[in-house]
Amino acid sequence: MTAEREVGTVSVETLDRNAPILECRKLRMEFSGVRALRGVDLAVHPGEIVALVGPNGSGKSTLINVLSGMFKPTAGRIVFRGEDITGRAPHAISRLGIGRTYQIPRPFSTMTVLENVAFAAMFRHDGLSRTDAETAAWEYLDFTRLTPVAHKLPPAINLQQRKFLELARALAAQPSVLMLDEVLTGLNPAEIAESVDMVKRIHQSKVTIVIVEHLMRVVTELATRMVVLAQGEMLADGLPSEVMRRPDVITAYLGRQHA
Amino acid sequence: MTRRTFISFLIAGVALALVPNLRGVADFPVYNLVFMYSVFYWVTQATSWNILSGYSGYFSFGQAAFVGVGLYTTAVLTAHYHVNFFLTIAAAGAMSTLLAVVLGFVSFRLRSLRGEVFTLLTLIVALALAAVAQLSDFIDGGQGRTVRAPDYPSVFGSYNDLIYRMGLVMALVAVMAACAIQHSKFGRGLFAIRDDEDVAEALGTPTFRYKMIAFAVSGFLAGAAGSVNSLQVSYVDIDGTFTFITPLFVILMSTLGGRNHWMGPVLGAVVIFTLQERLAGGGFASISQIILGAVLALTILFLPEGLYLRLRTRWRLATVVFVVSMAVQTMVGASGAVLTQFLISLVLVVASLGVPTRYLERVRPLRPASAKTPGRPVTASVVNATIEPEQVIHVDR
Repeated sequence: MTAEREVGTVSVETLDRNAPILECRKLRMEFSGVRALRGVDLAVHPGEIVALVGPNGSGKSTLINVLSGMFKPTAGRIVFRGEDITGRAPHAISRLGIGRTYQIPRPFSTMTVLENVAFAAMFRHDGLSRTDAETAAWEYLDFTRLTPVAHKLPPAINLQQRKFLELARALAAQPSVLMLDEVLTGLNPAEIAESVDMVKRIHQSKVTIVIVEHLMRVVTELATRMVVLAQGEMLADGLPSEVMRRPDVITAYLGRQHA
Repeated sequence: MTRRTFISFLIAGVALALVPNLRGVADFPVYNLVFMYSVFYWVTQATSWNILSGYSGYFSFGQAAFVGVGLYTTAVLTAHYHVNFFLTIAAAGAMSTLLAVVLGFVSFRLRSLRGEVFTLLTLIVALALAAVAQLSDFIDGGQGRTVRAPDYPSVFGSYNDLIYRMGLVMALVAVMAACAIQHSKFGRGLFAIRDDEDVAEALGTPTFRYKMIAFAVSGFLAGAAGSVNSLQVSYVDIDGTFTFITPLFVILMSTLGGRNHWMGPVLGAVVIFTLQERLAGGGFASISQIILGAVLALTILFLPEGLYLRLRTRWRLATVVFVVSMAVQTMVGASGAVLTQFLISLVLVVASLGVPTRYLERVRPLRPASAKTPGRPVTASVVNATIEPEQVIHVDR
C-alpha cells in the first residue's frame, strides 16, 4: 500500500542491523566490596534474542538492573542506539525504549489488571492520556490473553497470568529492547510452552529480547545467541548449540565433577 | 477533574458560603459557625496530609511543622513588618512549601530506607522547629505571639463570618486539588509509588519529581491553612502549635475516612473533629484521647479501607440511619445542642458502615457486583472479544 514507507523502513533496519542497539562496555558493579559484575562487554543487535545464562549469583539479574538504570554502575558505559545513557534515571531509560520484567511478578496490587497495563502506556515516551491508555491497554491484554481477567486485581489471578501481566505491562511501554528476567520459573510444562510461544510472538513484533533463563531446552529453542556469565564475568558468547558444548561452560554451570 | 465535578464543588462552596446568612432567618448560633470553621480547618489539614502520605504512601509525622511554619510566618510578618495579613497567607504557604522541598530533597534522594527515613525526618523536624522558635526572640522566644485582627472590607460581614469563609475557601482549594490530583496521571503515578516505587520508576514514572510535587502541594496547603487559623486562635504559642495532636489527628482522620480517595479525609475530619469537640465540650477532654485511640483500633479492624469505600456501596443504609437518627432525636425532644444530635447520628452511621458485609448479607443478599462493571470500549479490534460475566469482578475504587 505504501511502498515508499516500506522501503524506508527496510533501509533503516539494514542500517540498524550492523550497529548494536544496546551495548555495555567494561561494565563493573560493586556492592560494598562484592564485585557482582567485573567488566562485562556485551553488544545486543536489533532482532536478536540473547539468552543470558549462568549459575545463581553470576550477575545476570545485576546486569539487567544496571542496564535498566536501577543500579548505577561502578564503572563502564552503557550505550543505547549510539547514545551514552550511563547513570540516567530508570524512568528516562524506560522512555527511551528499554523495558524489563521481574522474576517475581510485581504488579501494582491496588490497580486492576487493565489499570496496570494502562499505567505503562500512560508513562511511556508518548505519554497517553488516561482514557487513551485504557483503550490501548486492551490490545496488550488481548495479546497476552488476559482480557477475561481485565477487571480483576492482581492477587486474584494465577501465577502464569501474573507473569503475562508483567509482559503486557512491559509491552505497553513500547520497548525496542525487552529484558525478561526468568519468565518461565515456577510454571508447569503446558504454561512454559505457552509462554515460549508468547516470547516468540513478542519477538516477531520487532522487539529485541534479552532473556535470563535456566531451562536449556527453552534457551536452545528461543535464543539466536547465548551469553554465559560466571562470577560477574562473561565466559562465553555465541550460538547456543556451540556455547553449550564448551567444557568451561559445562563446568561453570554443572560443577566440576560433571565435567 | 471533569467539568461536572468542578461545578459541583462550586455549588457546594457557594451553598456553604451562604450559611452565615442563615443567622438572619433562623436560630443559628455563632458557635456553630466557629465549629464549622474548625471542621474546614481539619478537612484542609487531613487533605494536605493525604495528598502526599495517603496517595504515595510516604507517612509523614510532620504535619505540625508545616502548620507551625505557616502560623509563625504570619505572626512574625504582621508583628515585625506590619505586612497586610492577607498577603502573609501566601507567604506562609510559600515558606511551608520551601520546608517541604528541602525535606523532600534530603529524604527522597535516598534509595534505600525511603519511607522510614522520611517518617523519622518529619518527626524530628517538628521538634527541631519548636526548639528554634523557643530560642529565637525574633520568632517567639517562649512568649507566644498575638495575631491582631486585620482590617477588611465590611462586605465580608462579621469577623466570624470572615474566618468561616476563609476556612471554607482553604478547604475547597485543598479538596479540589486532591480531587484533581487523584484523577490525573500525576495521581496515578503517586498511587503506583505507594504500590511499588521501583516498578513505577522502571515504567517511566519520574518518582522523585512526583514525590517532590506532592510534598510541595501538601506543605503549601498546610502552611496557608495554618496562617488562616491564626485569625481563629489569635494567640500563637509553641506548645499549641508544634503539638503531636496535629499529625495524629490528620492520620486518624485520613485512615478512618480512607486514604485512597479525596473524600476519605473529608469524611474522617468531619467525624473525628465532631467527636473530639463534643467530648471536650461535654467535660470528657481527659479521656478523649483514649476514645480516639479506640476509634483508630476499631477502624483498622472493621474499616481497613476507610469509610468512603463502604459508603459507596451502602449509601442508602447510611442515609436512612442518619435521617432516622436525626428525626427521632428531634421528635423525642432530645435536649441540648444540634451538634450532639449530629454526633450521635454520625456515630450510628459509622457503626452501620463498620458492620462486616457477611452480617448484612444475612439480612438481605446484596446485588451481584458485576452489574456495575465498567464495560470494555467497543472498537473495531475488540468486537470479537467476549467477556465472561462471572469472571469479571467489580473493583470499587
